[in-house]
Amino acid sequence: MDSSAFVRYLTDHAPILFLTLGRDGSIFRMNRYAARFLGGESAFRYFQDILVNFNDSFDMAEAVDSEDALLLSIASTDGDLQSFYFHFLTQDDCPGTDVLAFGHTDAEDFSLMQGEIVNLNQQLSNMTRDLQKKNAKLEMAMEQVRQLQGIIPICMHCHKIRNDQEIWEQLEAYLYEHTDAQLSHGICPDCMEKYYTED
Amino acid sequence: MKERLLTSAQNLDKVSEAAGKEFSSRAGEMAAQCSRVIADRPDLEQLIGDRKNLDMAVDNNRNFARFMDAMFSDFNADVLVETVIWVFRTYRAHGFNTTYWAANLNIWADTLESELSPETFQAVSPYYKWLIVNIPLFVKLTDLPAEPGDGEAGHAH
Amino acid sequence: MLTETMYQDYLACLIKGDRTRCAETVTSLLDRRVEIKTLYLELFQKSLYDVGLMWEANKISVAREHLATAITESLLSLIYPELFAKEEKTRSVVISCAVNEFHQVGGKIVADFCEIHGWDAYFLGANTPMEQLLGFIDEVRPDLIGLSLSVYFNLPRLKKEIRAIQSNFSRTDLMVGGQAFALGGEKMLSSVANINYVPGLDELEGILAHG
Repeated sequence: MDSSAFVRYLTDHAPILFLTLGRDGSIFRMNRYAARFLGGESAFRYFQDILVNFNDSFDMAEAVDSEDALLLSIASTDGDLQSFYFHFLTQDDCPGTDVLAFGHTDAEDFSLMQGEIVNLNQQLSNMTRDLQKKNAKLEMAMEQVRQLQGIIPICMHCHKIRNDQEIWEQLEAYLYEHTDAQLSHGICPDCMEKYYTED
Repeated sequence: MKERLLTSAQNLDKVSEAAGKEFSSRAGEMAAQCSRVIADRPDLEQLIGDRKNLDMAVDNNRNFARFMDAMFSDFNADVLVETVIWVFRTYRAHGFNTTYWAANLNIWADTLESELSPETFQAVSPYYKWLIVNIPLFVKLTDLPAEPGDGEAGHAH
Repeated sequence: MLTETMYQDYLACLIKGDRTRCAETVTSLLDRRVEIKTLYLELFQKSLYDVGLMWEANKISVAREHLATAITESLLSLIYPELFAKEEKTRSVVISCAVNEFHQVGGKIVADFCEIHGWDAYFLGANTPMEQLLGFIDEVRPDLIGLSLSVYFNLPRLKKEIRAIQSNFSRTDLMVGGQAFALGGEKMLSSVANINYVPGLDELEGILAHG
């Protein structure tokens, strides 16, 4: 590839906007990437029209005089907003098409995004961990609840309970094993009368 | 070679609490200032290998300031030597020239002198002098392929 | 079951950013009932160390290293259904990164490793403020607290945090580890009493077994 073909290749494929403008902002030509991004050469007549929210404040003459790159946002045909740093160069020997506008993507956009994505990913993965942990605990609690549901065989006389191993155990022991309840002994009024009333 | 570095580092005088505090309060600001000075040098690319390494150079100054802050509050010669070896090896692998450290450390020495009180400068400057005079040893140590235990473990950045 | 070829393929995908292919490797190993511990030691930890070394040797960019870390964190969640098994865990541990520490994957691997060994392990992420950590410890009342430090210059902050924990929860065991001590300096912790320095996951196993 010779050097002019290489330059053509770059202007066609690199993510760079390259436009030839008149001093009033009228668009004469643009590179292939810009045409793809902006929906074709004939889609806009003026550079000012491709800018988002800058239509009123952007001044072509000031931009041409500015030595610094200007951060300008433009919308693609897909409606995506993207920021570009624009440099404006005048070429006095080409009357009519005397401003070159050259826009490159904002590298800081990417590093800002990168940092933010790292943080979000950390937060998201921590939340996933918490959620999975809580879910496992909930399932465990549900399992306990399920154990206490259904039919529990109980002796009609002494109220012992037959457990999974076919052993009859005291109600207190059964509750202690299968629930988190703490038992505290007391005497109900009926038993008080039955066992403690003096004749 | 490493033993020599360890012995000389162990002979550095402990930095007083007051001097450490003053350094700590100015560390971030001084790191930013040193980064500005080095970024403006016409020979920047020769020093750091490539302009794209400027972020790394700025990072290095920020981390260097925090690291020295930790050293002044709790000195450990092993950590100092191993970390400097790690920095030389890693930054050289990224294209930094060995002349970078001479330039950067001299910028630090000047900045410390202009920004800190004379007492604090007196207390901390021997550490920077130690780093400057030992640059050839650190270069030599990192010329060689990594030996087991030469700070080959990963480093967060 | 985790062959060198599989590992190299996983590592290449991790650096390329091929999360789907990495996830396939992890799920296929899980399907083949590879020990969970092996995944943590031989796949996640080993690859993250290798990625770190590649950055140091200027073989990959820092962005690629961050990408590999992010993918690894997302892959950890594939293990969680097995990790948080439905069993009662009687001992609990809180693992946290120190203030101003922005690298959390090491701490999270430690927390998960504690779960593997039957501990109820809570993980507080990167840059956890001290008040939040103290409040959480007060709420959970763990048997053990683990602090992770990845950069050495955060040591003064870590020590401050240790002193605050010890003055509030003097009976709780405390362990410290992390990449910050890869170049030495663990002796600096000896000025703070009753600290277990844990150099790696092998040593952690010993503490968890006897804790």
